[in-house]
Amino acid sequence: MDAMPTKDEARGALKAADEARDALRRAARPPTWYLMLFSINPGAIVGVQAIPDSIGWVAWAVLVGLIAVDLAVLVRTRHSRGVQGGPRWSWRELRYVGAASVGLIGIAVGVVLAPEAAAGTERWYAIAGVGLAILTFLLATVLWRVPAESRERVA
Amino acid sequence: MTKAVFDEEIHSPVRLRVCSMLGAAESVDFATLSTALGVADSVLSKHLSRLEEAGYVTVAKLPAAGHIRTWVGLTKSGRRALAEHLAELRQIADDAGM
Repeated sequence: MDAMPTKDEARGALKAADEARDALRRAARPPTWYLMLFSINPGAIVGVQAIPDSIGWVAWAVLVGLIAVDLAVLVRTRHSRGVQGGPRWSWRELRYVGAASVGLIGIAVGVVLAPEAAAGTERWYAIAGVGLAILTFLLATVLWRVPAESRERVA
Repeated sequence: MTKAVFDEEIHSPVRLRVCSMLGAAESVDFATLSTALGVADSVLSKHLSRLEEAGYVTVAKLPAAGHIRTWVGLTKSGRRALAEHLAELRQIADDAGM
């Protein structure tokens, strides 16, 4: 076949195909501020335990509001990004993996801290909440930056 | 294992990029596709028509928030042809004898 590419042309074409997939992945990603917003949730759920009971309901209301806004943004983002299905190991999958991992960590922290009824427990909830929020963000950020090749199962 | 088959319909630079993008999703909005590719709408339309004639892509116009949105996706045979074409390119690129 006279149209068969040379070795260099084939390499160039493969590179162009990879770059195109990366461009789509970038287009399908939600903005970074959304990642930051989402990463606050698990830490906030633990951290809110540190709020004194007298104003605890306000803190919970704020937290539920935050999660509601987060979900609304998720729905809005999903419908406005112009990509259905998403790349394999898409941001949605990464988010679920991150959220599930952090959920487990949150439960573990809760199990460890719950029996501590003595004064000062709130302090540990607050520290755990902040630590968890930071950990979630780092985890999500690391997963976010995993090279395309290792995330992608070539069709 | 994926067969290695060279496909002239896919090999054109723009069409290869289009198929690679579509291969990473179920479907992509026309505007998103043209922006990500950096090509004019008319150029993209022309290439999509060619891929549609080959049976590699489907184009669906769906209403969305008061306007019509055009969604483009690879068909089953399009996905297979892309995989086979990429396998052929890899084979050529890795061929130590060339």
